[in-house]
Amino acid sequence: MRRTELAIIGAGPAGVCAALEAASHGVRVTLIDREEHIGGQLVKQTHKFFGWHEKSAGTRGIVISRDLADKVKDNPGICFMGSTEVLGYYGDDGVLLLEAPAGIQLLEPERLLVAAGASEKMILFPGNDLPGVYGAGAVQTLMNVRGVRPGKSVLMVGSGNIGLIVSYQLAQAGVKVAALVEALPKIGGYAVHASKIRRLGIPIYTRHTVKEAYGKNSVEGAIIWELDDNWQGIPGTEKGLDVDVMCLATGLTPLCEFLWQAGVEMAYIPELGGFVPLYDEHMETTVKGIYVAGDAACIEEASMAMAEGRLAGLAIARSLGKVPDGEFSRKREDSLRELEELRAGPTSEVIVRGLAAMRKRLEEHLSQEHSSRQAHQPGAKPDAQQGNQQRKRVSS
Amino acid sequence: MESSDIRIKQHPILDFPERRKVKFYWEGKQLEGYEGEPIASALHAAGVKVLHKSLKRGRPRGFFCAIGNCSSCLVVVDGVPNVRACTEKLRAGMRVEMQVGVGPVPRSKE
Amino acid sequence: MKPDMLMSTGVPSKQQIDGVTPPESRRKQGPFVVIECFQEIPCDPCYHSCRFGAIKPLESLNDIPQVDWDRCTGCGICVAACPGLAIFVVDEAFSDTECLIAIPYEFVPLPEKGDPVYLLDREGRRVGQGVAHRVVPGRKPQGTPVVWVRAPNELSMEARHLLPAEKASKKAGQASDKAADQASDKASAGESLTGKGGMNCVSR
Repeated sequence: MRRTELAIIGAGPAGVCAALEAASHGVRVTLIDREEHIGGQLVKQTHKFFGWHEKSAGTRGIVISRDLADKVKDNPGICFMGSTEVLGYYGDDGVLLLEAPAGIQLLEPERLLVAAGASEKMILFPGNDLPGVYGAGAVQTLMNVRGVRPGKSVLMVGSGNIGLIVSYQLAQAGVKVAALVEALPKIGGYAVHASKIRRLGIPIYTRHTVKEAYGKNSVEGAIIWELDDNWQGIPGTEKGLDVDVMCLATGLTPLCEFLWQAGVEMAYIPELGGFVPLYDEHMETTVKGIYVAGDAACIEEASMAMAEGRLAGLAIARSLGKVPDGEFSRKREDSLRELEELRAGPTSEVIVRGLAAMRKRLEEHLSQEHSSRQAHQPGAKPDAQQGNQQRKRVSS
Repeated sequence: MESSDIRIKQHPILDFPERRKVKFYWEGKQLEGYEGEPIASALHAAGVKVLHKSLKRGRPRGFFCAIGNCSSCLVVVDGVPNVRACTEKLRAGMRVEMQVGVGPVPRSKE
Repeated sequence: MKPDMLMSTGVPSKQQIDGVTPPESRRKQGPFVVIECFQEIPCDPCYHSCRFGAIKPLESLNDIPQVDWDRCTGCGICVAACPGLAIFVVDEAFSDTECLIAIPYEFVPLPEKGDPVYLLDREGRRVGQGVAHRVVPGRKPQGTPVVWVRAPNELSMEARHLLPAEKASKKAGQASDKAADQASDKASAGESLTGKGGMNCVSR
């Protein structure tokens, strides 16, 4: 069995930034990804990122991903295991089961960071299982990574940043976007992204949704209709669209199976994307030594994922005794301020609300745990005992 | 879409250099794709969208997430079922079949 | 509450555009930047791109950029720097009939200097014809190409996207380039005569 100080599941923006930060303090990191490349979904992001100029704003995701990959490759403290799938986490033994190109392996980390990203949500309509109905991320992968156009004409569903950006990227790849529908009365993503696709002549229908997709073996067309105030389709408002692809950009949900498996307390917080782990301001979950960052923690922009990764990497290095007090508190403050400022605008209001709800659940959980501990172990040293027991799960 | 149009040649941001072409089989028919690209992208470029038939109703299924999350694109590769077409890399001579339901139990040839 | 026009359609309102247009006196003096960024989002590359300090320092990352009109030279550096492709440069002092508009253009084929182009407004409607006057190609993969189009004056605050027009008569060589230019110039002039009148031509 191989051992490592820190195992990171997912080499996307959050995982890589955590790896670089932790390694900069001397932590031995094993960075694992099922893809052979480093950068996660950044490799298909051809648009320029927002955020701070000093922190890659104005740089395309594909360029950021190359820079991050170079930094990882140059760092002797990081062992990157590509084309390696994590099959499970066995909390009682603190062991990860991996399927690597060389075969099945076990890895025993002292700390674990889950930065596994997110998966796309499906919405309900007749024909939603037809080939030709693709996740927006899938379409991005197909055209921007593989160089294959998804089809001739696309209906985009959802006006969050992903729906808007992928519509623009479809146009860049020479694919017609027949329309974008959004069930809400307003556009969900950034106005500048929406304006970009309107200039191209792509119509955005707010208060509209898909009535059905039809076709024998794959999508041959779609019908959209307008919604009333109760989210019901209004008969007579149907529009037929001649499309061979439907692209769902209807939200993402955190990929946190390993956290469930590890016994981390989870809560359903729709603002953050669905079931999310409870974690403190250092990205540590309710199981000591297990951390989370990026979309696995809450669905947000990659800029935030990178900042969360850096914060988690710092906190992990600190927990391993590798960061002096002064440096830790300075860098910690910087990271927290960075996240706070990224989330300061109106476009992050929902996330801020969701994070507050998550923290409240965490406090409730901790106080429940505290009182049940006191009830069950009178006179014992509750903190130390519980702490040790939980720590055992991740360290040998 | 003409198959000649489906591969992007000119792009404002990206370059897609020519790669080595290999021959493979889909349902016994010989097709061509790029070595190392996912089976799903080679098939899509060849106009194949239906990769799988669903377990209960035999409804057609294609890929959905294209990054190995959802298992909508399971195919049989060289007799082995439940291979994700979106992540499995294309090799020369590969025999890929549409998977029906859970697919066949893989059996050795002897 | 009813969402505003921008957030329900993706198209900014006239008031919003007026709010980022410099005063008449400044417009006559030469090229100026038009930052069509109306929503507080966490972003600052425009501020850092400007060498003249014409984009005022942002107090918070989410602030909407504000322009110091006296410092803006209309150089267009920020056009390619804005991640939201929301910045344009307009030169209404270019000629009596035509203005110049710098438009970020991340599409293929990139027009060449002298090519006729269709001009599109903020809703993607074709509103006129112009000519690619200067083309600044971006270096792949990071760069954003910027096309400076010559447009009829009255489209200076309308045209925000372009499409290459058919190069029917165009063959390689300068002579035909010129012919295309002239043809397009004629079309532009014709349109400005029938249009609302160039803003530059109106004196008060």
